[in-house]
Amino acid sequence: MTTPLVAVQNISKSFGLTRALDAVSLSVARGSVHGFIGPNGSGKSTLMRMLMGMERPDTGEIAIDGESRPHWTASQARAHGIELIPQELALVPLFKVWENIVLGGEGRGLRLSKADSRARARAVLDELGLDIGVDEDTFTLDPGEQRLVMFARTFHRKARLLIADEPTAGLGEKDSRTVVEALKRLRAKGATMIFVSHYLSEVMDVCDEVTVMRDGRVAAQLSGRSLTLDRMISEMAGVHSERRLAPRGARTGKLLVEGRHLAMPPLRQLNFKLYENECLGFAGLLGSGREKAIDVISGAARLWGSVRVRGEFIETPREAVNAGLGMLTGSRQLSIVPGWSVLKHVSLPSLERMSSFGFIDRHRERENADAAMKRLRVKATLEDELADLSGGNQQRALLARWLMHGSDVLLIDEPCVGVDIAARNELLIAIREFARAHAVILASSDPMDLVECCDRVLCLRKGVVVKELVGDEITEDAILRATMTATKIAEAA
Amino acid sequence: MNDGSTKASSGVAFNVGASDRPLFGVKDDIRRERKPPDRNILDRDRIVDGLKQWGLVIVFLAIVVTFSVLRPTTFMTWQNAINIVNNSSSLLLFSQAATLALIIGEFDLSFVAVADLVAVLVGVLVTGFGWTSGPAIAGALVLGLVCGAAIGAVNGLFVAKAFVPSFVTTLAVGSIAAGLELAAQAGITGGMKQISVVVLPAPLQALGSMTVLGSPIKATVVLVFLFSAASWIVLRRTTPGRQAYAVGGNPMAAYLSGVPVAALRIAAFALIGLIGALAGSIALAERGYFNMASPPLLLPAYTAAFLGAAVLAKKKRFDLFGSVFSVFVLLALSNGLSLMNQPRWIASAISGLVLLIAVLLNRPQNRKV
Repeated sequence: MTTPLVAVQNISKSFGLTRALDAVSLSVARGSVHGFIGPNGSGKSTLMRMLMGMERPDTGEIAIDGESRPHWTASQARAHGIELIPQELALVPLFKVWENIVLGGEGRGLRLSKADSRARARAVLDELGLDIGVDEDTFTLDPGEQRLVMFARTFHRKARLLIADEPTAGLGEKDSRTVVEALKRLRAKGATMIFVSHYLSEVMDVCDEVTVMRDGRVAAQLSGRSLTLDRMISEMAGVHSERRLAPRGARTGKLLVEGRHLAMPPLRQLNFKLYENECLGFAGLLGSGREKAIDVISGAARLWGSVRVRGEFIETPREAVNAGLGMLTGSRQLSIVPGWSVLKHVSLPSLERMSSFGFIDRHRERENADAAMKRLRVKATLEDELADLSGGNQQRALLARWLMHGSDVLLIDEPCVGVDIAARNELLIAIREFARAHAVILASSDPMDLVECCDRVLCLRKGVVVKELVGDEITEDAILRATMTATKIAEAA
Repeated sequence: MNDGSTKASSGVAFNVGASDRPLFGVKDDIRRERKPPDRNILDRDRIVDGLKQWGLVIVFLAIVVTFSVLRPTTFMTWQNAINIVNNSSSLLLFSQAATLALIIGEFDLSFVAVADLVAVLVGVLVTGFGWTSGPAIAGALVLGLVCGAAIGAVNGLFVAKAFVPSFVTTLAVGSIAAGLELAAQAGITGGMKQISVVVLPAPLQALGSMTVLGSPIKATVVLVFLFSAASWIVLRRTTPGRQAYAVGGNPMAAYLSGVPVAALRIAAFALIGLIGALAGSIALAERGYFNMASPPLLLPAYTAAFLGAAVLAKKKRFDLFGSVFSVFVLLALSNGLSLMNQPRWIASAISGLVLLIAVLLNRPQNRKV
């Protein structure tokens, strides 16, 4: 057997108290396509960053071409032809396609030969079998084609190992197809690749072997006959204790919020109804449109469609807030004002009601904020800077602002990102309690959040709702199946 | 102030990139404790923190002491102090305008041009058009203020509704205002030569040179101080003020909290235009005649705003109080240097250096890019 291109032995890595990788071993053979799947935070990205030399393992070793590399750095990785195609597009929109392809691979010297560069870009595109003109303006290309230009750029640099980190995330069905076809052509040419993806059917299509990651460990290595969709799903889900309240399938309450024909790319079409005393979930991967669900409902970003709260149309977040909606953003960077205390954050939406003639009644402000904080058991004083708090306390402080404001519908995106286990439970309990008393819309990429909280879950994939799960149907398995596999399989389930 | 440094102060006081926190993959579930207060007064971090907080006061005292020693008969006198105060109204107002723009997270490059335009507008009305009586002058001043606010509102509309970057918008509007000023001068009273010698009507001159209650302080300066105090209270104690800080700190967070972001931006730019107009009118009245060569005050205005934010305020936010104090640091510096017959560029260069050092002391930690 030939030496593998990359071999990793017993690698571990911790960030603070979090163990990102725990004794991970694997090898990638020359000319094979290796798939990486696993939930968010399972350690895929950390491992990729290590292969790229951007992160140093705490223990364990990396061997390239059979040779151990204790001091693997980013520049060595470049020199050995290991190239990462990042998730985000790193293209210059106003450049021609050929300029983007040769960017960063111009070689030494100041002189650039345009004819030579164009020819080389052309050759790379031909080699990849891509139908893109070198003189096209990059910004006119489809998203999928732009992704392919990124491929071409790494190829131009003579990559020996191509790491494609979720190359189809955020792309629609057709664009994903283009990318997957290109990957398959590369495989046919004998390229060595690592393919990180959430889309299991694409992984099935492209990969020779698949590593399933879970909680920083290798949960399974699948290849040949063991490489099946069912196997991947069950390995990813693992064993979870079911800790949920009895779901309430029946819709008894009044209609509170109704959304019709909502769209904001990549979300293409969303219709939903939220009733009183229920928790409605949105499931889906990054790129499924789930990440835009909260924004389109609040009006923060909406291309098309309408939302009515108790019959009143909502166009902007301000109208939403006044109609009793409260937003909790997925990225807390969108909620935190740098340098501000907890008090200022909690009272911000309610300021107008806490003031007379514009002057803030600081006594009332403190009392009301304090009461809301106590109800949610936030472990912080009003003077603490919000950015200094732990993730769980930040989330609860940001929830407290809506209690203070008296909102009766919460729109929550990714509630548990960056929140530790204990705080997560408390946070989910608070969300459930709120849903029982009022109503909640909860969007999350983590199926367990939805399993534990929701009475109803809409599963999104590639911008549309592919399945509605009600009551006892809501399991991690069912959500993974609906959001990660092809549409036809989701329907069969 | 600098997060994450829970280590003892044995290391370097502030090491540029070597933080304990990894740049990527940070899980923030570990609560980042603040450093407990250190009782040792000679602790290195404490000195640095103290410098950050009181540095500008120290600089101010150093300026005063230095010039008092070098020019004991001219600098450290009542007359000179009153001089400095009486010449402060323009820069005070401009730095207020700059601070307001920075608070909402924008730039405004147009307020000096607006001031000049309004000064010419008022001047032309009270001389060329014969609005020389008291009430007519008051009318001209009000018209000037309305005009300034309107220009500011145009800035605000472009920024808040069309999302043109404020730097570009105000640059363009400022250029237009400067052009209109020239047109007003040239067209209405027949050329610059005449206009620069036109004497303003007596009531306006009296307004500019009036002093308060027997003291030697000009009424216009007192008015500017009252205006600053009122603005400070509005910014720190009222809903729109708090919301303005929210918009500047994180516009998306403010937007999602139901803050009327667009309305606030337009109002803030209108207010900046109004302040510019006020500065122009006051400068006109204080001078008593048309003066084409208005001093270049845009950069000092921003210098004062940044100095005040970087050094004086503990939380590094833009704050009117800090800006006002910084204005007097700058004025004392240039006054002292001019008493020593130093050329003007030295004052400008020194204030630039002070600003660089101040922002360097307060730069964000843990940044790689």
